[in-house]
Amino acid sequence: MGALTRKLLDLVFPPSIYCISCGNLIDETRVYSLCDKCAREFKWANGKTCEKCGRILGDDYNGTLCGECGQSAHAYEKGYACLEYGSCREVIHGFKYLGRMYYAESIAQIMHDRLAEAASEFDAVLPTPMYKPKERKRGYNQADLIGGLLAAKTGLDYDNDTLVRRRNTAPMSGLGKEAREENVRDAFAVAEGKADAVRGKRLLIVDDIYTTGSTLDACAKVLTDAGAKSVCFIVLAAGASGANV
Amino acid sequence: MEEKICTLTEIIYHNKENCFTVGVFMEEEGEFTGTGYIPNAARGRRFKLSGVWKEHNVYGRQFSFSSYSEETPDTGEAIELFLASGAIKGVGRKTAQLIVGAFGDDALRLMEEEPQRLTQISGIGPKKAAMIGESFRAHKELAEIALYFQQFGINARAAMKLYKVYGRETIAAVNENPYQLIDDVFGIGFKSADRIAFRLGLDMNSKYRIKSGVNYLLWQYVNDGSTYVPQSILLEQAGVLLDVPMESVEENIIEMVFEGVLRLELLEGRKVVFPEAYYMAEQNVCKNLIRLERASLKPIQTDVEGRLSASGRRAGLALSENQKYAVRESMKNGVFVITGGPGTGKTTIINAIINILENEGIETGVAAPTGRAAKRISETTGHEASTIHRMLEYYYSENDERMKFRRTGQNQLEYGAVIVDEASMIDIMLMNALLDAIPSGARLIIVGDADQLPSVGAGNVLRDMLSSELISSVRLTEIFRQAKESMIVVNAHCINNGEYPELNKHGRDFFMLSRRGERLIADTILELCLSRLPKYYADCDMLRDLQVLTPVRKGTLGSINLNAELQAVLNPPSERLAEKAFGDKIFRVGDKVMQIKNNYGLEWRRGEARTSMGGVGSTGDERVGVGFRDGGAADLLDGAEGETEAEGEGVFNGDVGFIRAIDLENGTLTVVFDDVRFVEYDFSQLDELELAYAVTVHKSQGSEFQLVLMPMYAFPPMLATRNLLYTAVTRGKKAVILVGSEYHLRAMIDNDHIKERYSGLCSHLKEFLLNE
Repeated sequence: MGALTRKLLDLVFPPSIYCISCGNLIDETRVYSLCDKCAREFKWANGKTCEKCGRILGDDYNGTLCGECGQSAHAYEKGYACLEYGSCREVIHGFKYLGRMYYAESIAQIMHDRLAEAASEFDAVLPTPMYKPKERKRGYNQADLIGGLLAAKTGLDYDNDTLVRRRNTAPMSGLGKEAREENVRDAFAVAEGKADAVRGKRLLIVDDIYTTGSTLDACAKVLTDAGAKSVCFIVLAAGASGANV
Repeated sequence: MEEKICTLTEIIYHNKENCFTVGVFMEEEGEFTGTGYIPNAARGRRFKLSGVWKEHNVYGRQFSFSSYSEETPDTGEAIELFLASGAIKGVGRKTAQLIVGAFGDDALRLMEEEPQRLTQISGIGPKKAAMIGESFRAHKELAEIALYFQQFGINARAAMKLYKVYGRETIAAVNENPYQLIDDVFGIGFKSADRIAFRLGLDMNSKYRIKSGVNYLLWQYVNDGSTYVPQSILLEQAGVLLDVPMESVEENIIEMVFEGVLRLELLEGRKVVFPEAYYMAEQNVCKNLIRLERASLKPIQTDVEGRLSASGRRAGLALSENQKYAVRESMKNGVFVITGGPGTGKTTIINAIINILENEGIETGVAAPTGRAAKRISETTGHEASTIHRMLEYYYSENDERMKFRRTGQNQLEYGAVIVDEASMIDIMLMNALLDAIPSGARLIIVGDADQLPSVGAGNVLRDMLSSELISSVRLTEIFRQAKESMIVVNAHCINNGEYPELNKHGRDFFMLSRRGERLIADTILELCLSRLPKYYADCDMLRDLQVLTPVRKGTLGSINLNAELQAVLNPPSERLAEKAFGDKIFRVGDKVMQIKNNYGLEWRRGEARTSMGGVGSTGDERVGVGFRDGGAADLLDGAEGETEAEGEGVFNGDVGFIRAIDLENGTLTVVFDDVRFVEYDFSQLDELELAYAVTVHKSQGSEFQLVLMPMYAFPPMLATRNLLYTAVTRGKKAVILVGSEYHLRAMIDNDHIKERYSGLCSHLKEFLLNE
């Protein structure tokens, strides 16, 4: 099915009747709008995960940190990932690049279920900001879409104008770790007059993917410097331990 | 790659199951240690090994060989060494000496070509001579076959498996159609056969391959509970799996239809594919249901209304209108279905029905899918109940070499009424067998809880009968007054209705301990089992009466890991307790274990629960077994009362017992099921056993436990469902204890998605009536 046909179908039919990963027909009782097959084949983070970044480790993985977190420090306190990226790339692709904004509902629900009671440990939810001109061009910031819904589900405050992106950054995919860090250096800031929204607060940043953590580290650093008590994050998917997205 | 011609002089390690061998080999330049796969490794045999040197961090430099071939010894001395190795049946050191003494260098040729000449040696008669000749030939054949397969990367272990089945025809058989291995050789599935075919360079578009792939996919659905698969799905998945065009898959499906293997049908407007046997089973079930439904019944003379109020008074409770309706309708209909949750009075209704039928002098058979359920009904009704298998006289047919039912359409049961309980566990095949055997004019009353997880086997029988609305039925929703005392019952109903349960009511039986994070949850479960529960429930035995249930197998809270952790605290290693490592598992004397596949041939014998067994490390403690599916032969065949046979055959999927002894010398492990049935497993059969301290909810279906302990965590959405939780909770009798996140408990209740099973029974039933 071509992207255009898909888009037309989306207009005609309510989107919840298609699996958000493979596009198969589903009924409305499916959790997260996933068909049985995709739900089964997704790699869910319900086994051993990295205690720092939250990515999935194998059950027989030795140690509590993934290889990457074992080697380098992070500015954030702790991360939650819901899925392994490889298994759910179709969902992220559709959500980010094919304009399927309605996926946000499923994604936010997956995140809510991942956090469960831990949601009560935060004061506010913040999306990873997009550079405003870029957001206008795409029409939406995917992290903002999820963040708003997640805040509503968890009952936490939602704050999408405190953390801002000051300049456009190159897409992260294809860049190595150092290049990624360089790419986001000084890219984020706390908006003027918003220091109170940060000071002493326990914050949860929402994004779609976690790879090396450069973006989330940069955000966490800015927020911590501005006096946040703690900064954690939740993402839909993280790369497998040792793999680059 | 280096080659070595050498003699195996010492065996350091040899695994009979997979042939992995560590040995000391002697070549002209001296000795070395070698590792690799050799079937039946024995000292004295000469090999040509090819491999590479490797440095092992503990054992040092080793020659790791990837292939071997046996060198035929050619000197008298070498021949004697080879014969004395024990590789040939009937030849030991002494006979070897005599043979070589008599025939010298010619001994091997002679053994192969003129074995009868061996009778010249005193002590070897014609029979033994023939046996030696045969054994030597088989040895050579296996060596050749192993060598042949080695070049395609198929190891000696697999080659030996094939040889055991096909003998000297092995190479021809495998080359012709490697996919026949799937049916013929245990442990080879489609993927293994496909790998072999690929390595042998066989045609990837062959019919054998495509048909086999289609079968493989179809049976994956059947094993997952479906009786058919929509053709479009099958075509697409087969195309991907086999990397062939969908058209050729479709052609092959049509051929398989003509061969009578598959059935294509237009079901509710779409093409679907059934395995023929499942199609026939569904059709038969429809026919038989309608046959029984339509048959004329001998009217009931008893004053049903009078009996109902009387039996209500006797039991100290008044039947509700709905319950009375259930009893009345059971008398009026050829087939009647009663469904309801715990505490809705199903047992009381069964009692009332039996009471009336007995008064009428109608011979009534009562049965359930499991032995434990049958036992429970016997106890509560005073009417002997058996398993469905036993009622239908399940037996091993020597002629057909498989298990069969003696009661069939040709040899029907002699009952005027049949009552089956726990019907949610009945799959389409068992229902087919049951209905076939019920004579027209008999009343069939089917009782169960349609909200439980469906049967392990394929089909959705109970739900389909209810949703067809063609079979008369009643749904009981009211909870009995007494049952309301139990929070397990009350909460089970809440959960089933999508409401959140009431937790931790003082002095009650339904608890939730809030714990965050999987590690903490696991630790709490261990602590509960080890110290808190034994104190609180002093009358319960933590091994027999407590069952940890979990939705998943993998992960920290999966059955595999919880078993390892629970074993470490409940039955820790000790010098007194023998143990045997198998794969990733360790089996230890005293362990609670479960049989995980049906094995009809496995022998058991009755023993005294307290006799101490021989063998290394006999128990010294008395925690011997009680099966929770009430165990195998006694379960399926002998029913509740079969306690007299001294021995029998058959241990079944789900049977739970305790390891009584492990005999490392003879390679056997003894498990006691139901306290009295002793089963000896050869170490090579240990893949049929798993530890059972923690089991999956699916495996627990149909069993009840005094105490149920279950983690609540972010389980995968396919499994974190309302009916799984409902099934788990309804397993508990005395207490249900959940440990983990209340959020996830609520999420599970909100998830009322029931995994789709493709089942045609409901549509077929409707169609049957439409066509009349």
